[in-house]
Formats: sequence, structure tokens, C-alpha cells
Amino acid sequence: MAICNAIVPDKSATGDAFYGSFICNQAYVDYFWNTYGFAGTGTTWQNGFGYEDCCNTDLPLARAFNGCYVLTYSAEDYLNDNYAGACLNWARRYVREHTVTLTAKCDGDGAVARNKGRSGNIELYSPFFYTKNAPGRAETLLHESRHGALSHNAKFPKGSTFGEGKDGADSNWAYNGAWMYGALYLWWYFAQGARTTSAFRQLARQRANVVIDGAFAEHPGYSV
Amino acid sequence: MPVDDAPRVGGNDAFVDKLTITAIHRYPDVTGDERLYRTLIKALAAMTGGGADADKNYQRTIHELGDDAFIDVVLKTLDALEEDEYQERWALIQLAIDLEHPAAGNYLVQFVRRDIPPERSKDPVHGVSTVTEEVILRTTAIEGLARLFRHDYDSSDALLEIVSSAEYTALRRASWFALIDGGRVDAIERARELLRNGGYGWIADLKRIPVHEAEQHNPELINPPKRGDIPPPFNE
Repeated sequence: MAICNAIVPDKSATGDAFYGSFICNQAYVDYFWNTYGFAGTGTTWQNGFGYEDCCNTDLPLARAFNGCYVLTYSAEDYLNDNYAGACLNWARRYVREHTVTLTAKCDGDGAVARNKGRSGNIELYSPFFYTKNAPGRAETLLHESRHGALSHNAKFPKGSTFGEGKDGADSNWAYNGAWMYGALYLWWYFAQGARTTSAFRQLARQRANVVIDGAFAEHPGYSV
Repeated sequence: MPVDDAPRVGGNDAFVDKLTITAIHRYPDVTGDERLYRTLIKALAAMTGGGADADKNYQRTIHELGDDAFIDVVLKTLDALEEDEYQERWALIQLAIDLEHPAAGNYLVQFVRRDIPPERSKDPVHGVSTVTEEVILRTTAIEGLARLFRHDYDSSDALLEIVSSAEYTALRRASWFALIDGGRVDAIERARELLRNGGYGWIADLKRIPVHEAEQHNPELINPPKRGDIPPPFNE
């Protein structure tokens, strides 16, 4: 058993102050729990992770639910999750269909989250809850889910913020890897994100651009 | 779905982790004025709100703000934060930008010129890259400078410096597009020359396009894995 400490950022900066008031509803809790891989993982969400207090947005579980809320409802027509449509629509479906379990842990050697052995068993670590805002958690769930199909396959290019020459990039946009899925989600969120603010949409734009500039060995040639 | 509570070989998963909250951050009150501080917190909460009227609420909130005293509070609060409070720092920078107050211009110029602290993360690929967070703060600030051209605040010199010497592609790209948005022809031509001379001429060829014009995911590559398959035989 690992023991970890966490510092909660100001919740008016992360969206948790707002989304927290919405997710404190059994209908949402049941939906997220049974849809996104929480079912059967309850013990990992105990011991301070929020299982016993699932509306408390100081704690990881409610903060994960906030990310699930953004993932589920950020498309205006959220009921349409057809893969032929916008990433904003099908992202929730992709996560739903490719996440077997979603467990909470303290530490993953500095990682935010990992899709263990590309199995669909996704572990969420302390930085997921406390260094990502609510839309950022939604994007991370999509990124990690995508690792069930594809790993990163290239080195980061010159000028990348993730570490030039290190492993962990995708070769190009057409690879359809986790970076592409994440960037595409952020791009659509910037363009058409519903039930959110222009400020969060601008942040999605900035993050999408930094990913486009730094996470592909071959730059896609466009910008958000 | 039945709960899988069979014992695990090695036993590691049987012992779940324990997390303790040691601190809950709040924006520091640098004002000494409770009313002003409450106004700041209200604006930040509106900024990160959700729901059908989220943006309408945010726009209404910032429309009511933006006097000299308030922008001063935003920037002083920003200076009072620790380096690793990335989310709080972003929210204040974005608020300063959305207020579109020319008084923010000098602050943003100083900020984008600041050196980026070295990477603090032990795993910047799978973890939170602090360099990436710092760069996002700066590209956000650069976007603010692009908007301030509309208010006759010209930051071309600072943007040209970044185009010329930034370590990170994202900063050069953001500055290039800010100069394009600023519309000063001489600065754009100088930037193009600097990019070309530095081996980054391709940045000037990047296209800002609507998302629906970008290459979308390939549905044939989605390939959902099957659930509940039996494990493969030993050693295969």
C-alpha cells in the first residue's frame, strides 16, 4: 500500500467549484460509475480517494466524476456519439468502449495515468486529480483509452516541450494515436464545446496547439 | 458485472493506496479589501463555470469589471502565486486577457520574456511536464498580446524576440500568428525573415484552419478490443 499527500488547487481555477455542484446527484454517479469503468474498483477509491464522500470535490472520486461530466456533455448534441461525427461527440463513447476498469492510485512514477499493458485497465494517479482541470481530465481519459489500441511510436521533435529526442511522441497525425485523439478532442472543444466558457475553450486551444507543435515527430502542418 | 475479488498472485492489488489532503489552496487576498477580493473570486468562478448559460454568465461578469483597480488586483494576485500553481496562474492570466485592458500589456510582455524554469517533472511524457505548463501560460499571454493590438498596444518587439530565439516551437508559432493578427506589415516581414534564417521557415507556412477541415480520425483504426476474452496460454 502506498500513502500519498495531496494539495487541492483553488477550485475556482479548475472548474471543480462549479461541476461539483452538479455531479452530486445519484443519477450522474450511477451513470459514470457504471459507464466509465469504475464498477468493481470500489476498494481503490476508498482510503481518502472519496468513495465514502463522492460529492466532495476536494477528493479524487468527485474530481474524476467532474472530468466524466465534461467528457459526457461537452457536445451540444451529446446523445449523438457516432464515430462518423465530431470527436467531441464520440470521445465519451470511445472511453466507454475501451475502458475496462478505472482505478485510483497514489503514484505511477510521476505519470498522470496509465493504461496498464494496453489492457483497458486504466490507473489514475494523484496528478490526474490535482494538476488537471475538469476538461483536462476528460482529455486524459480519451488519451489513455486510446493507448489500448496504439502506443507512442516516435521520438519528440526539436523544439518540443515534452523533451526533444525522448521516446513518447506519435510519428504523425495520420497514425491516429493517443496524441492525435487528445489534440482532436481539444480542438473540437475549442471550436464547439458546449456548456462551458470561452476561457476554458481558449485553454483547450492553447493545449491543442502545444501538443500539435511538440508531440508529433512530423508536424501536421496546421494550427488551431 | 460481478465484482472480481479473486486473490492476486503477488498480492499487490489487494492493498489499496491511501490519500490524505494536506492543504487546500485559495487565491491569496492581496487587496486588503474584502469586496474587491470577493469580486475577483466571483469572476474566476464564472470563468470556469459550466452549464447552458456558462459563457453568458462569464461575459456578463467581465463586462462589469475591467477598471484600473481591478486589473491591478488580478496582476498582483498573479505575482503572489507559487511557480507550481499552474492552474491558478492560467486562470488569472486568462482573466487579465479577457478584460482586454491595455494596462495588462506591459505585464504580459514582461511575462513572455521571462526564462522558462527547467523541467521539474521526473516523467514529462506521462506526467505533467512543467515546461509544457509554462509554455502554455506564455502562449496564452501571447494570445492576449495579439488581442491588445486592437487596443493600440503594440508588442511587436517582444514577439519578434521570441520568433527569433525561443527554445520551443510553440512559442515561435504563437508569436508568429500574434504578429499576423497584429497586422504590422514590417514586423511580419521581419518575423518571416527571422524564421527562415533560423531554419524555422516552415512555421510561416502553417495553416490555421477550422477543425472540420483538419484530417479527422480514421474510423477503421478504432478497432475496439474485445472484452472478456480468455487469457492466452502460458508463454505465448
